Amino acid sequence: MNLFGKKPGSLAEVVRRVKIGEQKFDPSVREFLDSFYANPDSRQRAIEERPASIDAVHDAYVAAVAEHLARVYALPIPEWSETHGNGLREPFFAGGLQSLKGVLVAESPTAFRRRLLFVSKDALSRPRM
Amino acid sequence: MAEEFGWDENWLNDGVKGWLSSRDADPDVKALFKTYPAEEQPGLRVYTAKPEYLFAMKCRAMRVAGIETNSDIDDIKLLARAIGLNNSQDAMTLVEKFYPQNLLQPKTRLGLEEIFSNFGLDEGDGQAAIPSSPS
Repeated sequence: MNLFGKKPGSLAEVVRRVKIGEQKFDPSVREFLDSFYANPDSRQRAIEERPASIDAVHDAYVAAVAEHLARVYALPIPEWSETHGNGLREPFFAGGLQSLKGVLVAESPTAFRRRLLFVSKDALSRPRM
Repeated sequence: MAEEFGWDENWLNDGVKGWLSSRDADPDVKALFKTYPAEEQPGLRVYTAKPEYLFAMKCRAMRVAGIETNSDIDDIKLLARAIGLNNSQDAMTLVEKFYPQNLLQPKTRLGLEEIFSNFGLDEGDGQAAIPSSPS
């Protein structure tokens, strides 16, 4: 993927790229977010397709991203996000620092927290124009 | 340039402006990367933030988000190595040279204390390229 390559236009595309080894999950999500924020007219389309499954943590994360973006931008919450990634049984804390766990429990967005995912409150923010 | 070369109109953005320090105009915090087409001709001067400034920005953001990477945490470790920082007090002192305390969240101090308490134990520290501004 070069600087001017095509960014994934949907969460389903993010997962597809990861599964075929074309791109790592985190950078693919970041590029998806850039595309999502830059293209208001296609936001609903970007989250409506059910992605394939990777594993419990990734699936829960993808579902949380879909729900969070839908809530923030007043889009219908995709039905698939309610059933996708429900297999996570242990909490996942991003960042790997014990000292931040309390902060993350407090500030992780609801869509993430209710799936046992704990991230920064601005986890999905990207530099924008 | 984007029009001329057919690039995405958002190929270059100024989204980082929310993270800039009040010292951003200070010539000591940035380094001249290159002048286009040449210093003797009118054109474009490109500056990059020095590692100390990037370190302060990353510490202020202290954003953790990914599943497979530690985002700002990895960058903070890398930049600390590049700068030569080896304890959290010096790190906080450096951050406060760029941002007043009231702009810093508790997670900055908490995160730095833990990062430096384990500093050097991670084999990968300092092995990658210097990161860019918060993204």
